[in-house]
Amino acid sequence: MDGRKPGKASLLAMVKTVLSAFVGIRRRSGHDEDAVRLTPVQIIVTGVVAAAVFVIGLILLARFIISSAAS
Amino acid sequence: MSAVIDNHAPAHGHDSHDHGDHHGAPHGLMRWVTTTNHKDIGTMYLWFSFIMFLVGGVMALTIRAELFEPGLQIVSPEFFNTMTTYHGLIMVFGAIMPAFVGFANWLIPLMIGAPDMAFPRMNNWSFWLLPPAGILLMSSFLLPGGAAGVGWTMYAPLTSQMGPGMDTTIFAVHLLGMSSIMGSINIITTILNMRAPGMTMMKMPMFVWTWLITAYLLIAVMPVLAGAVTMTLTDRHFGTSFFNAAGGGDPVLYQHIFWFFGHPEVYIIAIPAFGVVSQVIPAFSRKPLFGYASMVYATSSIAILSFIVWAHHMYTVGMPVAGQLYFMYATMLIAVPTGVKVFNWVATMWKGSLTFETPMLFALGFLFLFTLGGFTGLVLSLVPVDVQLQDTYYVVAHFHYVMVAGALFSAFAGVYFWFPKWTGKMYDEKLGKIHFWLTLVFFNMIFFVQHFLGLAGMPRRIPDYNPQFTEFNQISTIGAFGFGLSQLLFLYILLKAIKSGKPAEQKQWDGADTLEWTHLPTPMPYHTFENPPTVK
Amino acid sequence: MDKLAPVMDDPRRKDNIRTGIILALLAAASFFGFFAKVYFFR
Repeated sequence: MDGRKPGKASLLAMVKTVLSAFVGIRRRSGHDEDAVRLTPVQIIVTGVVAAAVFVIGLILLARFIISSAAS
Repeated sequence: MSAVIDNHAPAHGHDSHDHGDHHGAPHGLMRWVTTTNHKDIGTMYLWFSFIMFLVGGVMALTIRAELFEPGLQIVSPEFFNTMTTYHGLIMVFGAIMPAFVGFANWLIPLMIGAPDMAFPRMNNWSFWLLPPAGILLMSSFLLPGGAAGVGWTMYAPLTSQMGPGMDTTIFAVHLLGMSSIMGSINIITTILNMRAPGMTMMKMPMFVWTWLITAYLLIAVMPVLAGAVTMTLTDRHFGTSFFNAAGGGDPVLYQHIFWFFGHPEVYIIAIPAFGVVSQVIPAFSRKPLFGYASMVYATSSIAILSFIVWAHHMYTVGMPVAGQLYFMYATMLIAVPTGVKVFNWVATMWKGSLTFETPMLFALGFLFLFTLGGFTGLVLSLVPVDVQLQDTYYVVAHFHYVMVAGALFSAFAGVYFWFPKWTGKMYDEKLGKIHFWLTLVFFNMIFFVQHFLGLAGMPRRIPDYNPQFTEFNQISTIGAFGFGLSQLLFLYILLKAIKSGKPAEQKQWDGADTLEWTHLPTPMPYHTFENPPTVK
Repeated sequence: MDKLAPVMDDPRRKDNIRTGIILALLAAASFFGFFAKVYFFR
C-alpha cells in the first residue's frame, strides 16, 4: 500500500478491527487495510483485552440489574 | 482448465535412496499400519468414525426401542443408563470428531499446496491411538459391574460409585484426548508453516481457516478434560477429594471444569462443519463465499466467546442470580456472530446459479436445521425457561439438531462432495438424493417431536415414562429405526461407488475452486504437491 | 515400509519442529495450569 509498516496502527483502529470481528461484520477493504497495518500479536492482545472488557461489562450490567431490583 | 502439476519430478534430490518408486501405495495390511501418508490416514479416520457411528447408532436404537412403550420391556434401567452414556461418548469422541479430523487430514495439505502433514509419523500415531481407545471403551461392558452409567458428562459423585468400567472409560478418554491434541499440533503446524508460495493466510479456503481455529480450541480445552477425568481417577483410587464431598471436595466443581471444556467442545464440533459447508455452498452457487473476511473474523470470535459461557449448562446447580444473568447475556450475544455466518451462507446463494446435487442438499439441510437448533439454544439460554426445560427432552432435541443436523449433515455433504476426488469414482447421484431425503425426514421424525415431549415435561435419561407421552415416543422410535436403516443405504452407496462407480472428472463440480480440484488430476497420485504450486 | 512423506526432508522441517514444540508446551501448560488452579485455589 502506501508504505505503512505493520505496527503503525492507532489504538482506535485496532479496537475497531477487534470489535467488528466480535460482531462478525467487516468490509473487505477494511480488512485489506488491517492486513497491512496490524501484526497478529497486536490483534490477539487487543482481542483478549476486548474479551475481558466484554466479560467485566456484562458482570457489571448483571450486578446493576440485581441491585436495582432489590431496592 | 488449470495446469496439472507434475508430481513425478524428483523432490529435493533424495530420489537415489528410495528405490526410485514412490508413485503408488504399498500393498497389504502393513500399508495401513505403517502409513505416514495423509490421504491414507484421512481415509482411516473416516472409516473409523463411520464404524463408531454405527456402533453408537445401535446404542441409540436400543434407547429408542426401550422407549417405544412406557414401562420396562427390553433392557434393565442400569443398562439403559450405560446406553445413554456410551452413545454420547462414542458419537462425540469416536464418530464426529474423528470424521472432521479425517477431512482435515485429507484436505488441508491439498488445499494449501503442502506435500503432506507437517509431522507424518505423529499423524500415524494420532490415528492408531483411536482403535485402542474404542476397544477400551467397549471393553467396559465386559467388566464386573458393567459399563459406567454416568452420562457422557461423567458427573461426580456418580463417577466415584461405579465399577472398573469407569476406569477403562477414563483411560479411553485420555487416549482420545491425546490423539486430538497431537492431531491439532499437526494441523496448526501444517497450516502455519507448509503453505505453498503465494498462499497467504487470507487466501486460504474457509475450511482451512475453520480447522486452524478449531485446533487452537482443542489444544486449549482437551487438556482440561484430561485434567478433569484424571482428578476423577485420583478421587476413585488415590485418596484425593477433588469432587468428593465427604473429603471436603465439591461435586459442582467438576461440572464447572467439565463445561469449561464442554462448551468449546460444542464449537470444536461445529466449526469444522461450518468449514465444510463454506466450501460446498459456494461451489454449487458458482459464486465466491460472501463476506470471506467477516467469516474468518466471526469464526475467531465464536471461538473466543465460547470460553465465557460455559455455566449456561448448569443454571440449576446453584449459583447467584448475578451469575445466571451474566451467563444468560453472554450466551445470547454469542448468537450474533453465528447469525452473521448463516446470513453469509444465504447471501452466497443470492443470485447464484444454483444446482442441487447431493452435497448441496445436505449443506442446505444443515443450514435450515442447524439454524433451528441454534434458535432452540437461544430459548434455553434464558434462565427462567431453562429452569423449566433443563433435563427434559427439549434439551435432547436441541443438541441433536446441532450435532446431527449440524455436524453430521455437514460431514455427509463433505463426503459426497470430495468422494469423487478422493476415490476417482462417482457415486450414484440418484441414490445419494434418496439418502438425503430419507435422512432429513427420519431425522425430523425422531427429534422434532422431542421438542413437544420436553415442553410437556418428559425428563431425559430415563427408561420409563408416563403413558401420556406414548404417541410422540413411538413416532420418535419409528423415525430412529428409519434413520438407522437410511445410513446403511449410505454405506451401500459408498461401496457401490468404490466398486463400480463411473470415473470422476478432475473438476467434478464446476463451481469448486480450491487447489485439489484445480491443480490435481483425478484420481490423485499417492503423493501430491511434492513441488509446491505457486498461488497467484 | 512406505517412503516417509516427502516433508521429512523438507527445508521447513526445523520450523515445523519448533512450532510443534511450542504448541505441545501450550497443551502441557493448559493441563498443568488447570490442575494447579484446582489443586491450590479450587
